[in-house]
Amino acid sequence: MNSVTGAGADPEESKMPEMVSGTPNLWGDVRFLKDASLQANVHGNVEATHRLVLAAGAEVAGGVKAKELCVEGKIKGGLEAVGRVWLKSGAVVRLRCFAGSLRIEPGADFQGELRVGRNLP
Amino acid sequence: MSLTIQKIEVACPECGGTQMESENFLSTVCRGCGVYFKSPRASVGGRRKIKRKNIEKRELSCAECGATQEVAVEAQSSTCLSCGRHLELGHREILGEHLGNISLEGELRIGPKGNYGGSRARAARIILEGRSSGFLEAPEFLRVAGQARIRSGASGGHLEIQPGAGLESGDRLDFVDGRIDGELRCPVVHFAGPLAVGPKGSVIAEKIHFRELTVEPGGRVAGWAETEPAAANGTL
Repeated sequence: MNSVTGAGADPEESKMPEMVSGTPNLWGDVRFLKDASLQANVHGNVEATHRLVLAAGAEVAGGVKAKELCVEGKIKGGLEAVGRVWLKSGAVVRLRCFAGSLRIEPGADFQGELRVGRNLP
Repeated sequence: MSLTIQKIEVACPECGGTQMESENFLSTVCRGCGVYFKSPRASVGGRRKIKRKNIEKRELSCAECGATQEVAVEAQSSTCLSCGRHLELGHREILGEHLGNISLEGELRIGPKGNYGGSRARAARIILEGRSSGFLEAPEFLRVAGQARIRSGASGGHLEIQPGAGLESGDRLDFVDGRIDGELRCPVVHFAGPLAVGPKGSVIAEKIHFRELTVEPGGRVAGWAETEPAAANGTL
C-alpha cells in the first residue's frame, strides 16, 4: 500500500531512516502514489495522490497535500486536501487547513487560516 | 332580609374551653388560650378536594441570579423564588421600530421589517428576521430566519441560521454551539462547543473559535480559526 519516493533531499545530507523509539526520521520530501499511512517524522513536505493517514506520534515539519487526509499526528506547515479532511483528537495542525469538507474532533488542536469549500469570497 | 347563620359550640382541643362558632367554620383561634385549631370537618376531609388536572410545567432560570424553578407553561409572569425578581414570561414581537431595553423570560421575535433600537434585549429565545442596533442575549437560542443584521453583537446558547437566511454582525458573537445552514458574516465568532456548517451554509469571519467543527460537503468556511484551548495535546 505504501510507496515512498524521496524527492528534494540533498544527497550529501540525506540519511538512512532511523529507528528512534519506533518512529523513523526521514529528511526530504515524501510522496505517496497510493493510499498510505505515515508513521514517521518527516523533515520536509509530504504529498499523496490518494488518501493519507498521518498516524499518532508522526510529525511533518513541512506541509501536507493529499486527496483525502486523516490526521492523528502533527503538521507544522499546513495541509491541503481536495476532499475530506479529518483532524482526530490529539492531532496538532498549524499554519493553514484547506479542505473540501472538514471534521475537527474535540481534542484536536488547530490554529491557522481555514478555508473549506470552493469559490470562497 | 338577612340570613341567620347557625352557631355551634366548639371545644378547644388544648384547654377545653368552649366558644360559639359558625356551623360552617373550618378553623379558629381559642379565645381562652390562643391556640389555633381546625374544625373536625376540615381535618377529616369534610372540605371537598378539587382534583386538578396535571399542569404542564417548564424549567426557568432567573436572568438575575441564575436560580432555576418550575413554572406553568401558560404562566405570563412569575417571581424568582431565590432573589424575588419579577420575571416577565410572556412573548413579544417587534414588527417596526422599537426603542428601550427588553428583558423577557419568554420569546422575542423581531420581524423582517422590525428594527430594535434599544441598547440591549434579553429573551430566553430570540427569532431574528430584521435588524438590531442593540446587543442581543438569548440564553436558549438565537434563530435567524431572514436577512438579518446585528450591530452590537450577540450571545447565548444555540445559534441557528436557517437555510436561505443570513446574519451580518458588526461585533462579536458568543454562543455555546451553532448550526449554520445559511450565511454568517462577522468579525469574531466564538463557540464554546461544537459548530456545524450544513451543505448550503457558510461562515466568513476574521476569527472563528470552536471546540469541534463539522463542515459538510458543500459547506464553506473562511477565516482564521482556532480550536478552544483544552488540555495541551502537544506543542509545535
